[in-house]
Amino acid sequence: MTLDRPQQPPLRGTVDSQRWWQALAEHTLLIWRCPCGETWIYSRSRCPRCGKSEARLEQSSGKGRIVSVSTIHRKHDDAQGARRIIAVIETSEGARLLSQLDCDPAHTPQAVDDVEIVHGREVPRFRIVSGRSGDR
Amino acid sequence: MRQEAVIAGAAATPLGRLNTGSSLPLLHEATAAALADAGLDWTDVDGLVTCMSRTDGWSNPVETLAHYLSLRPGYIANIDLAGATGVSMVHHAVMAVESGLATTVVVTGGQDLLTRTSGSSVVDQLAQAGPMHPEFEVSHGPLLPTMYALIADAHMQRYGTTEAQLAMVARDIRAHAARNPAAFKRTALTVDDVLNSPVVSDPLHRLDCSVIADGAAAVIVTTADRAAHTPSVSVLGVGYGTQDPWVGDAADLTTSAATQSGTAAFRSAGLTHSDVDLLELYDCFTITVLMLLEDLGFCAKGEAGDLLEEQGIGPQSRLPATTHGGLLSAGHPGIAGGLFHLVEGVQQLQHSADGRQVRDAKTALVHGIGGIMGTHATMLIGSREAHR
Repeated sequence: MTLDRPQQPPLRGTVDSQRWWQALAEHTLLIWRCPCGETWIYSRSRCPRCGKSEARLEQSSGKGRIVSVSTIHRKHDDAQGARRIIAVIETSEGARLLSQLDCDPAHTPQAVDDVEIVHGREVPRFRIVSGRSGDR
Repeated sequence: MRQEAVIAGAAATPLGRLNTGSSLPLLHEATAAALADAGLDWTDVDGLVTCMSRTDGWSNPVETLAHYLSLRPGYIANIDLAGATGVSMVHHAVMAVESGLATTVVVTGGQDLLTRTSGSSVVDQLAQAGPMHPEFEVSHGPLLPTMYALIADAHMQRYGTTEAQLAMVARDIRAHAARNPAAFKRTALTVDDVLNSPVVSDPLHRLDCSVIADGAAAVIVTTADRAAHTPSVSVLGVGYGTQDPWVGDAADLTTSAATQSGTAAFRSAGLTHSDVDLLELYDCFTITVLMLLEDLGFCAKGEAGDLLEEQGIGPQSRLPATTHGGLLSAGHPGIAGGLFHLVEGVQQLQHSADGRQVRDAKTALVHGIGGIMGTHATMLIGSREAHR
């Protein structure tokens, strides 16, 4: 028995985030910005600062900083056997997201490091652009 | 029909690998012991409150449990605030009794979490179960401990908190567990033991993380009249708080909504911090205890590390915390884990905590955390005799 199903790929994301994922696939990082100035990425129906529902998507610089970072020591699940480095990133516009760092294994990432987005993956990843760890 | 509600009984099973094949026998054992502690009988029960069991997969836990216990309660509820469930379940039972909806409510929860799942698969399951954002976080593959590690890293950067100070939380809670025969892990720990345990997700080591276990706990809430002949405990104040459940999106990783729940609980109780004799703080990871000491106001923000170095939270401290040994050492049986903190608080105030009894304990603060520092519930409880 065959079922007559439309052969379209499933939508990436939700009605809120579909445009965000599509832009990412086209190598553009978007952020939400409320007229009050607040910025974010994770889907919300209303602004966390002013409560209004008037935010619009705009293009991010794709640059930012590490807010906090943790390296997983338990699993070596990368193809090269590299450890997975998870970080909270804040973009230069002030929007935050969880991501992974592409990082030289010799460098220990720190929260002072500046990062920029690495496109071409299913999900946004970042790499360190100014390792300032030597300053500390 | 307003009536005064009190906690008349509390009990828990031992924690560990109990091999019951289902959570139900554990829930029965805890409930039977709590009813005996309250001096009440199964026929007195007319209310039942429980919570989800991820190992059992019941579609409606309270009806499954009512059948197993052969109860036909007129007040029933399933409560789920993740790790804050224990406090919330008892709060709901108190409201049911105070409103006249029920006169004796069994509150129980627990799972055979260890027997039916390996420790690491529990962590993997939890990673998919909601504490991480399904769209923006899960696909990066963080472990559950990674999310708390990110909070710990932020706290260390901002306030200079050290891995050794986090290790003191594990050391002191283990010292309590050593005095609790029902605890799973009872061997004393040093700060070096914690620091030398394998790193899971830096800066957190294996011994900064909970120990998965089987076990169940139960609390009996009834009217003051029915509890007249047993040492009972009053709920003096309750508060809730929630903010920023996703670690990647949180505006501030270093201060939690425990500030909100704690302030509300103290205000509703009309108490101050100096009234509190002991703390039962939710301890799924060492960093949660350290942050709760600050956010609940037992030290200034950023100074919990100093508090841990100066007096600690162990049996000799002026501020003993998580005196049954908590999730870190007594054991973590899943969503009802925070109910064990409440059971311990009640037993301390009944002065039935045996070798771990805090002297002259009259008032305790119990705090549960749901999600990854996202949901907070604070309850202040006091011996009815002292607070009448």
